[in-house]
Amino acid sequence: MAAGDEQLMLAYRHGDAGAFDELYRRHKGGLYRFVLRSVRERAVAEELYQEIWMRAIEARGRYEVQAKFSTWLYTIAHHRLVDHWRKRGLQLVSLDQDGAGAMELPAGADAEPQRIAEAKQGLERFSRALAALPPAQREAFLMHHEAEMGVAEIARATGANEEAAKSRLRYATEKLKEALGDD
Amino acid sequence: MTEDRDPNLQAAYRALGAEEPPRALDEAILAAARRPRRGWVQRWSVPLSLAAVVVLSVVVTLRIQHEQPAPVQEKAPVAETPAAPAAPPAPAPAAPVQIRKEASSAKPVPPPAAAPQPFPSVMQDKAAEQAAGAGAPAAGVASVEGSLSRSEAEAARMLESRSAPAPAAARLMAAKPALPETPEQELEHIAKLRADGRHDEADKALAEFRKRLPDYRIPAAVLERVERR
Repeated sequence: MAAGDEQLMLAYRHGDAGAFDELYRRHKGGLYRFVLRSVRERAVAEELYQEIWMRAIEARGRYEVQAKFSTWLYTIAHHRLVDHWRKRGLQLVSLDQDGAGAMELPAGADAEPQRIAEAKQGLERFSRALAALPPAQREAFLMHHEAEMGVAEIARATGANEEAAKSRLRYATEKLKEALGDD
Repeated sequence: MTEDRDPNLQAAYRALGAEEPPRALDEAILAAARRPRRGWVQRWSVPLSLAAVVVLSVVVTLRIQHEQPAPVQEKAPVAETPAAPAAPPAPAPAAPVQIRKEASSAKPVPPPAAAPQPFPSVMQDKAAEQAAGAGAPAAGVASVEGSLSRSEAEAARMLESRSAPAPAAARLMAAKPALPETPEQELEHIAKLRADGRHDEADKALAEFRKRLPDYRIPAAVLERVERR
């Protein structure tokens, strides 16, 4: 039976570098996509992604099993993204914007060629809808789908209460389903 | 509700692609993870060193400040020492006598006449035993010592033991048990000298006693024993 993430992290904390290799293999894709779809710029995403892992490596001495490893890792990611948005002049208000208002699709959304296949069009709408979500809702959705985190874990990782996390996830889901024409 | 992933939504999300980080990024992160962790000592070595230097400096400074008054305190006995070498070479007990004389003249002697007690025979015998057992020190030493209170004598002895050269201190220690401490003992000592036929010494000691304690009324019984007949 494979060791759990938490056991691997504890083993790494006690000097087992191989344990980190396995942890990294398990979480690298999900975390990378989470960051990439949060900031949408590949170069920035790669820089942030590396910094998040570096912070996790630096913090290994303080790691204790108080929650799932993924919650701990995405908490670090959340803080790093908040820093990033702050530097970019985006306020936390933007991150916490939970409004259920209409989705703002990026400019030019209607200019897509009609000849693109229907499936592809749906996918494109979904992608744009995801990019257009308020950061807090997108973050909740990405944590839910990439790290398979539940509402409680999302709340913990983002420092929000469960009601807020639940609300963000619900709004995000509704908007994306709407973009898919699936509601 | 939101805990369960919508299958269509999940499929759409998966269709966006499964991007992975570049291999170079993977290698950089894994290499960083293999680097040994900077220990507590390494991280805090510089601040700790600085703190240690500051603490040491403060401790040394305080210690120096604390120790500075000590030489000043020791100057008092040093100031006394010239008196001892200046004294002419004399028999061993002579040097202490000089200093004790100064001490006794510096402080007025409490009037012994204020307490003219009869000379109890028990004390007489005891004092005679003490004097006989202790031998016969110089009369001058005996008379001067007798005028000092116990604490004054102790202080003078300490002073001498600090300032006088080691042999003198040793001689003083040797003579110490024979020195009478009260006028009665001193008179008993004179009586002993008289009884031993050492009349010159007894006369000299008696004269010294009277000069030093003019108001002391020598009981008649004692007077018979200390005066030359």
